[in-house]
Amino acid sequence: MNDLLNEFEKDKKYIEEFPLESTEGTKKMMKNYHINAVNSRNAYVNKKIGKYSNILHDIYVEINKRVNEMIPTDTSSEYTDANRRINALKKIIKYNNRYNDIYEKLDIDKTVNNISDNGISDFSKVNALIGKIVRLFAKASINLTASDFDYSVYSYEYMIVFFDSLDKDTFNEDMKTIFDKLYWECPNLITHIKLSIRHLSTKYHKELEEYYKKDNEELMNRSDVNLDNMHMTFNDLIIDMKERMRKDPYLLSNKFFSGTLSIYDYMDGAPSSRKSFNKFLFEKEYDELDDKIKGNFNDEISAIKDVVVELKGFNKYRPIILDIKERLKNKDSYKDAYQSKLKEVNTEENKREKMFKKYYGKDPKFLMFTKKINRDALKVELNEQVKLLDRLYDELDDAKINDAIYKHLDDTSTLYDALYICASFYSYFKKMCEKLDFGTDEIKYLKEYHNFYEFIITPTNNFITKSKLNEDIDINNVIFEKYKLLNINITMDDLTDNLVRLEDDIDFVNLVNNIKASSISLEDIKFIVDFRRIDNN
Amino acid sequence: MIEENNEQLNSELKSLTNEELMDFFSKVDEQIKYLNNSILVLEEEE
Repeated sequence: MNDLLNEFEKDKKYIEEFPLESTEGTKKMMKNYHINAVNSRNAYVNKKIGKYSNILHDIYVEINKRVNEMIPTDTSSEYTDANRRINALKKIIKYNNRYNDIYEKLDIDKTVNNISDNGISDFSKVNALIGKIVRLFAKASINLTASDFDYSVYSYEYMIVFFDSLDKDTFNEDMKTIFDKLYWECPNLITHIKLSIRHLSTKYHKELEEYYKKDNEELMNRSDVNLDNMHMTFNDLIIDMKERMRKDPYLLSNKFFSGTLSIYDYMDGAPSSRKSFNKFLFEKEYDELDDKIKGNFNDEISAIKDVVVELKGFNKYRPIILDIKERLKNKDSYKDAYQSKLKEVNTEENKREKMFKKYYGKDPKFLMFTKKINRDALKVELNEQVKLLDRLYDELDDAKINDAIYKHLDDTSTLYDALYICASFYSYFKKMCEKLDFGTDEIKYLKEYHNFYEFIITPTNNFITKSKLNEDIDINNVIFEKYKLLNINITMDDLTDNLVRLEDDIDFVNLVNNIKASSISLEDIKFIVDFRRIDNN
Repeated sequence: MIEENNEQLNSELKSLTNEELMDFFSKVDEQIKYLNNSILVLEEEE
């Protein structure tokens, strides 16, 4: 190698000192001399280019060979089974939520709430949601027909077309036609459909309950868990998978291969690396610490990540906790409130049913044979009744969460208990989303709900599972003091205004440490990244 | 002779660390670029 590097120097000297001009002879002779000299120098250069290109190729082959041996195997499929188990356990935990009933457990509440606000432009989504309900009921051996949607004149007529066209290519056109026809007569058509679905969950409560029990039992048997160990098994699985992923060379290196992060920033001694590590130290620099202290420091930074994630979630959902605290103050007024509201709903539902029967007679199919009545007036009356019921169901949802608060929460309950109750009722969470500007449409609300639920069931949550609802703890200060005692420099600013930046620094340090603890090194990743850069040029 | 040189080079390449190998690649690559830039073009009238 050194011989070759010397040769490079000689090349340069030879080329730069190559005499290209002659000062002697005639003008023509000087010109010829120049032409010959240029050709001669070019011949030398080309010969060298040929030689070095061959060497470059050999080096490339050697690098390529090493990179291929080094690139971590794709491990994505290794998590499939664990993910499947985790999802099954999530469903089991959801099924066995002690705060709600099958309306929530089977996600009918989510469908109903998502149907409510879809406007004309989204009416195809409404059909998709109805389809979802039809499939869910079919699983419970309930084959829904248009007659099941005899909630109002409009929901019934809409659903006749729905079921008639369900398997036809013209489904979307047919539904658009009936939607346009009914919508101008009844702009609340969507609400009628929504309430008819809600009503179905009451009508078929027994069958749905049976289905849920059977599905729950099967899932628990298949997952080999029971009520006592389902949470623990779930937590263990999550922690185990997280630990595996933390040191997975494929996942770690992919962050750099995808171009999201630059490996040069993460190399030992790189300014950004030194800055991130030293940020958490009071006096000394990270490189000055002995190995034992470095080890402790790394463990603590790894643990802080969980604390920061929990703090972020806590800050985000603090208004929800405050709302529950406020509701808890009126706890005594909730006694029997839900039952009383339910009774009111049932009374009004009976009235609506009578109106519907009066409109159609005993059987909607024989409308033409029923006695002559003022149907237009009855339609208006029925619409008003549905509007009333919509409001009552809203109040019922509110009474339902208050009922859960009344039955299950007191001053000694934890923040986790309160948040879990919130996560048990999607209608409540959606209302809070609207209030807190968490999004503007159902897809965002569902995503927010998913994040909220994931946050609550995070096994590494610490203070929300321990802090009591009636305690007024300054969490930021508790964290600040804890890490000061551990000699980790985290400021109050970090925990308040700069939480995102703090998390970035933690992620940085953890990523470096995780790579060092894995079977791939920072140098290996850099080597692969450099090779790919060569390969792309 | 060429084969011998090749073998010697390959064995030398194998003994290099990843960093040295990459550095070597860059140097050879740079030299080729330098050589390419050194090629002179004669003007037509010449």
